[in-house]
Amino acid sequence: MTTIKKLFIANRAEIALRIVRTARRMGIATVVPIHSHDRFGPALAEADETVEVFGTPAVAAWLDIPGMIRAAIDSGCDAIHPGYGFLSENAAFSKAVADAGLIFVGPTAQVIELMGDKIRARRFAVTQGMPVTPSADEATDPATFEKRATAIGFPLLVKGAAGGGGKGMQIAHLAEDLAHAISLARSESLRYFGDGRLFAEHFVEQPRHIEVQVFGDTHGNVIHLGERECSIQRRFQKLIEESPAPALPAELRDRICEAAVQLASAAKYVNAGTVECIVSPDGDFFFLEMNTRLQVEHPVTEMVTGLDLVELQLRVAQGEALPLKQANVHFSGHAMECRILAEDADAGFVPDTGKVLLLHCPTGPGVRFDCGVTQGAPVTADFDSMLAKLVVHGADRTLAISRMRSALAETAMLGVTINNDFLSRVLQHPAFARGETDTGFLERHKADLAPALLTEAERQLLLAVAASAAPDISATRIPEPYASMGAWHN
Amino acid sequence: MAQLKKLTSKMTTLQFSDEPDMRHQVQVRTEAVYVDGTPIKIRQSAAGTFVGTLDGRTERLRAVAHGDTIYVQLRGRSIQVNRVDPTRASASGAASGAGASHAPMPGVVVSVLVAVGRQAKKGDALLVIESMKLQMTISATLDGEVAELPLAVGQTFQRNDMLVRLINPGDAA
Amino acid sequence: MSRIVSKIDTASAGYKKNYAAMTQKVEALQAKVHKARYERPERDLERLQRQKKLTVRERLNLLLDPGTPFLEIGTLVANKAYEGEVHGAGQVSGIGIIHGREVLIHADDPSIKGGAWYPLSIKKIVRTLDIAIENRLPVIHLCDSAGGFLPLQSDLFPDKHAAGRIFRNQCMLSKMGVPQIAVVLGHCTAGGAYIPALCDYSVIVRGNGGVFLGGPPLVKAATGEIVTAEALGGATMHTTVSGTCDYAADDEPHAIAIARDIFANTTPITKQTIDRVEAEAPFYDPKELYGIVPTDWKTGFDMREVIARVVDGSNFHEYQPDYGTTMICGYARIWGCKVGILANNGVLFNDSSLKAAHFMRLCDRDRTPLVFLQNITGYMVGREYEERGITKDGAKMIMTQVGCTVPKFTVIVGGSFGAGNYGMCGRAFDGRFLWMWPQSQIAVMGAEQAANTLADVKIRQLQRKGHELDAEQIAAIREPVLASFEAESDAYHSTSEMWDDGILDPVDTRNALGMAIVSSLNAPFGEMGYGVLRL
Repeated sequence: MTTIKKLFIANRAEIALRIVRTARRMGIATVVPIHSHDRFGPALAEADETVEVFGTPAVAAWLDIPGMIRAAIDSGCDAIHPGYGFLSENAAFSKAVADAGLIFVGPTAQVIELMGDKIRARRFAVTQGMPVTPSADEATDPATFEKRATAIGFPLLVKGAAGGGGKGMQIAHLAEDLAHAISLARSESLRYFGDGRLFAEHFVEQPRHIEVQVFGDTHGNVIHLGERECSIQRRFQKLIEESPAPALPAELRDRICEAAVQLASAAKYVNAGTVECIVSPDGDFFFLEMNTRLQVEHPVTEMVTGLDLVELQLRVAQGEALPLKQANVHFSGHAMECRILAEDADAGFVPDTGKVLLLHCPTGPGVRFDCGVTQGAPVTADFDSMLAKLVVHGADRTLAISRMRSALAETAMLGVTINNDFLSRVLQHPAFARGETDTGFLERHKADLAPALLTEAERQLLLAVAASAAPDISATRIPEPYASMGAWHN
Repeated sequence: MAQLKKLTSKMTTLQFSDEPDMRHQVQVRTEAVYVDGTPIKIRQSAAGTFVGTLDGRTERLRAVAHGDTIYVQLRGRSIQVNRVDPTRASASGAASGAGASHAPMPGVVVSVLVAVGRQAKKGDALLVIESMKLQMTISATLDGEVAELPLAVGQTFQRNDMLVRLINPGDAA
Repeated sequence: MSRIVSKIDTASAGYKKNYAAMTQKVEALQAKVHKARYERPERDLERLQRQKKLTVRERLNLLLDPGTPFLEIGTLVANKAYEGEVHGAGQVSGIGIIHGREVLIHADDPSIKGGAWYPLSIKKIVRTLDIAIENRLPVIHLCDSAGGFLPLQSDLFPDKHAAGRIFRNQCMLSKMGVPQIAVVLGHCTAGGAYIPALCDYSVIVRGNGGVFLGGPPLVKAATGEIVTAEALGGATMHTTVSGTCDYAADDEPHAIAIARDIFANTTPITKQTIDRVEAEAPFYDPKELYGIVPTDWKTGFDMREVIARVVDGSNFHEYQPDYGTTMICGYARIWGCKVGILANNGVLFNDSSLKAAHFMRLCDRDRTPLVFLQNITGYMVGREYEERGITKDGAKMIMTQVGCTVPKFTVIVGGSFGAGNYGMCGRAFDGRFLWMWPQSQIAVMGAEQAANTLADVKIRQLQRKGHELDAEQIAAIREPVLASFEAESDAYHSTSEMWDDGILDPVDTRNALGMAIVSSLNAPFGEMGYGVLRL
């Protein structure tokens, strides 16, 4: 057991702040990187120290393994938390951190490597008896890849082997789409992960994305903390996540969770991880991939279990045994998360840039807002477009939806276009209320989700407020006695 | 002693960002804000926060201005409004004859840089004329297609003669 | 100055009776004003919409600073003429505020008979420009007129103060350095074309605006040439070829925005300084004026009570309080400006006339503007008074009054009869503004008196011929005279003929005076001096 005294957070924006807060509660000092293009993060003011990092483009600083480690060592840290994204699933980083004598808050490099390669991960899952969709690995025989893929049947999902986070994936609905899908998937994978290896798998139509939060410690304990449903996606990226999964039969849920625990156990998994599956409309589930890091949507699990997952991560990293057994994990109520992105959801989800001129964070019972920006922060193409996470808990799903819609209406980040109103329309859709969630939801209901035209009364109110908020450049000072006479007319 | 008000009188011309052709006159007076003549009662409750009524219910709006753009949010929906200079012509206000360029003085055509049917953007040089030892470039006054080019190089013209005419593909010729 | 102590009992029967009667008069006034300003035949409003024209009130809304006052002049001109169809004589005039400065507006009202100029329209325009000259107020002309109303051309064209005087006044304003801007929103034909041409700046709207000495029909009749209004005198031609107009606008809001911008670039005038401090509302409620002034002008009241509800803090410094008590003289402030007030509390006698003359001299010398509150039936008559020189003393009052070069403002609160009108600065005496109250009367003498006098003359005429008249026959002579006199003494008749600048709700008197006084400071006060006083 090694107590962490000072933690370096190799990340930024909302997750950096979230980790800082738990670390502080545990009496651990924190250090967060600062970059010339990232000076407005909310963690920067709350961390104990900041360390300047360098890189062009800016994200390169967070992908610079020696740079991150050096920054951690120079600031006297004894542990590194990678957050999510960036280097969190980079086995080389995990190893380099360990080699540098620092504690890596996450699983070992071997496990990251195993699960990071989607093909290896699939094979491992099969050995553990987890169902997988039929697939074809290009590497087995590149020349016959297209033929073998076609043999699986359409629709097909072509994915990057080293991919994740919804990038490097293309659907081919018909045979004639396949060649194009392969070339797109390859170029995207190369661009995002530097690795163009592909595999193709059967695409389940109207799949539900169900994932299980697992946790392992160095004492051989592995538990699950329930499932999350993340079916509302656009371009394979999650927008809305919730727990428990609506309308998932209890028996199926238990099978998926047990299979996930078994998989993690077999891999001797340590720290936080998520086993992602897809569930077909017929109620079959298939292993998709395992993410060897804390996920963006972890607050959903925290809200239904009442646990602090970052705290568990730090304890496990310190060598402690998990403080609770599976039987002690209790689930209460319903939680939901909406990702607040800087994009125009009504114009094809086109990303927007600008500046957060006015920020208003929603509050209220059961409302948690993990905000990644401060007022005045520029929003540029330098970084990911997710500006905040809005997480809501309620005694049941209906209450959660209602609270979420109310909180979305209250959320304001004026100066850049965000998707809060779009998300509210999704939540309002009767199909969503009925729990008819699958990854095709947004495409299927596209027409219904378009924004309503503004009414004349709304337009007038908006103009009246706009005029009042506009600076007084064009206003004239009216002298007396006219100022006091006001709008008098004989 | 009566309290004297220092009144600033504010008259603004606004347009919704996605409706560049429609202008709204908004006047901020003490008793209400007049939007195209209709009085709308609002009040500012805090920095960037305003309160108004819609369908009989009280609504809170947030607004912030940045230069000539004002961002306003109502019920979670965010709208962009631009302030326009009322002394500038509106986008749709171009007169029907605006695509034609006429000679400002008598002279001769020195060079012709386009041909009939060519697409031109506003500001593109179309031809060069000379008179009184002064050369002048005639440029496109709008985006459009060259419809008429009545004069050739070396031809002379009188003041006000038409030198070139562009038509916008959206207009009737 | 000290606060006037009011002796009015607002619970008394007399007060309540007055209040009810005056309220009725005021409500009738408001109804007439509303009708004159806003009621128009549907088809005229539709025509404006089709032509993409705004109403004159909408134009003013865009032109004037929001939330600022507007002192309208002659709202009810022509209310008793032309069968009552030409509201305000088809014109809107008034003092408004643009970019914080006073501007005189002269606007044609195209929703009334196409904005055509009737004889009273000309009188109103000329009066408006006279006000501009006397007070050095910049003028903005909103031009949109069908031209002169030909059937009445002899009353609007040839005379000295007819149409030509408009253009003469424009030239005088220009000579004096007073800016004028024309906004051509409709046609300026024939003489009307000179309005923009004589202005410093002119803005013209594409499509609707046209400036030509002869319109297309006249041109065709004169030379056979066929030409459209747009080509003959439209915006593009005048702003690019002839240079008659300076700015072309795409629509009316655009044109008005340009006019505001032009005005912002004219140089503000340095005002004449007078004794002026921060304003203070009257101590007594101005609404009480309704209960103080009876609607029957023959019933007396104390003018001090009126003063108390018009001036700042109801403070008044009375001059010679014990001498010439039928004339109240004293200093007060209106919207912070110190003024000298002369107010009638009865008939004018020798002493009251002399007091008035002395007081006016003091005010003129000390550069204090004068405010006359009229309720006068005349000077005292009778042998005793003639022997004491009432005629000489009245003459001295008039001579002094005319000699004053400080601005003078008159409000006819009750009656304004005969020579009393003269001494108290009636219309002929170059006051900057003159207003009536809704129940006030103006005539050479009271209707009863006139009817009796004329009846008397007739009776004696017939008596000399040997005829004796019975009561019925006397009545037959008296009644028509009485009726016509009453009609012609009425405030609405006066305002119809533009013998005044408008009928005020008594409660508006303070603001009207305040705005007028402050506007008048744009012109420097003249050199003092007066004629020979018959001592």
